[in-house]
Amino acid sequence: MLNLLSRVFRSENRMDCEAFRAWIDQAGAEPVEPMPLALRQHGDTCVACQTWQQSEATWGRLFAAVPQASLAHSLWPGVRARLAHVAPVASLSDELTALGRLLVPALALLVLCLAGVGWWSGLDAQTTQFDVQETRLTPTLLVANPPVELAFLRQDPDTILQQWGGSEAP
Amino acid sequence: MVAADDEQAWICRARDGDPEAYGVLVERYQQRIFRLVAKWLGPDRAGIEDVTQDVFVRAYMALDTFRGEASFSTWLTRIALNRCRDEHRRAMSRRALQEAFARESAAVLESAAQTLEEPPDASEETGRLVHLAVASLPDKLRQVVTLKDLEGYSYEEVSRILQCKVGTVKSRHARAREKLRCLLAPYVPSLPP
Repeated sequence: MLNLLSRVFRSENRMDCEAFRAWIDQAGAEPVEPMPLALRQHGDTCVACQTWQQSEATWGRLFAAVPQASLAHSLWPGVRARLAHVAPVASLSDELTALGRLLVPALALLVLCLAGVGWWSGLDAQTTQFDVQETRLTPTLLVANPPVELAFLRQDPDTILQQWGGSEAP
Repeated sequence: MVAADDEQAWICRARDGDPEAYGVLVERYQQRIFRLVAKWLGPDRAGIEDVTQDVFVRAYMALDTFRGEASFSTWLTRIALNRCRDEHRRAMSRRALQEAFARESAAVLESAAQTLEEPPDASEETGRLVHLAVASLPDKLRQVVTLKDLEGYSYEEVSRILQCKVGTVKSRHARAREKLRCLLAPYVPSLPP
């Protein structure tokens, strides 16, 4: 039981340490709001957090010694001069929009062309069908009422010879 | 000065091609970005202004990619860090930086021996030494130390700028501090163990 209580106490204490350090981290060097009372009390009593604060202060002094550079004048005239030579790069969405402006009429034109070709093919198919019907009719007519030439072609050579020279032998 | 509410309006105007609106944003953030670039490249380096201007030009060109998920300041800082990293890689290798650190640290020891009355961690040489020690860290650790310790951002802000988890930032920060402690301990006696 005692063991459990001490573990709970240690866990709570660690949470307080974390909250205390997180508050200082968020607040930065010059906090706008005063530290909440509970955290302040924790900072006053927690040895680990006091040691941590001292360590942070030492690091802070070291980092503050790093030479600082400050800007003496505005950079905007220089930036503006550079911007005059470069055009803003269009984003992907802009490029897609620009592409869409070209693609939509092109697609519409393509659809129109395809429709036109389809319509024309339909007409052509009908015409061809009529032509086929007509060409198919012709042999039927020819067979039904064969002209002299066709009748001639349908006979065998001996018959033709007989027609030409008569049945008598030369 | 631009109020935070107006910032989005200036960004929209700049995005629509109004360069003067972008000028307002440049005026607002130039000091912060200049300071960051100077801390990364070193205050003595020529071309800090040039690099800072380039950061703003790059930001303008990429303005369409700014979605407002992070603040403009965070987004700009990210661009500045990337630009600094590129510039630094071009200018100096890590080995060169480590050699510079060795040279500078010898000078600090010599100086400290001559002027014993001056506490070493307050001197200008120590500041230069700390800068070189930070510069000789691997990029990921250096970014965290630069933002957290030199620029004063909180862990959460650093995590937003670097686009990684707060836990990752804390772990990198701890590793960076440990490396800095190893590098600086011989020259800065007051450094905590």
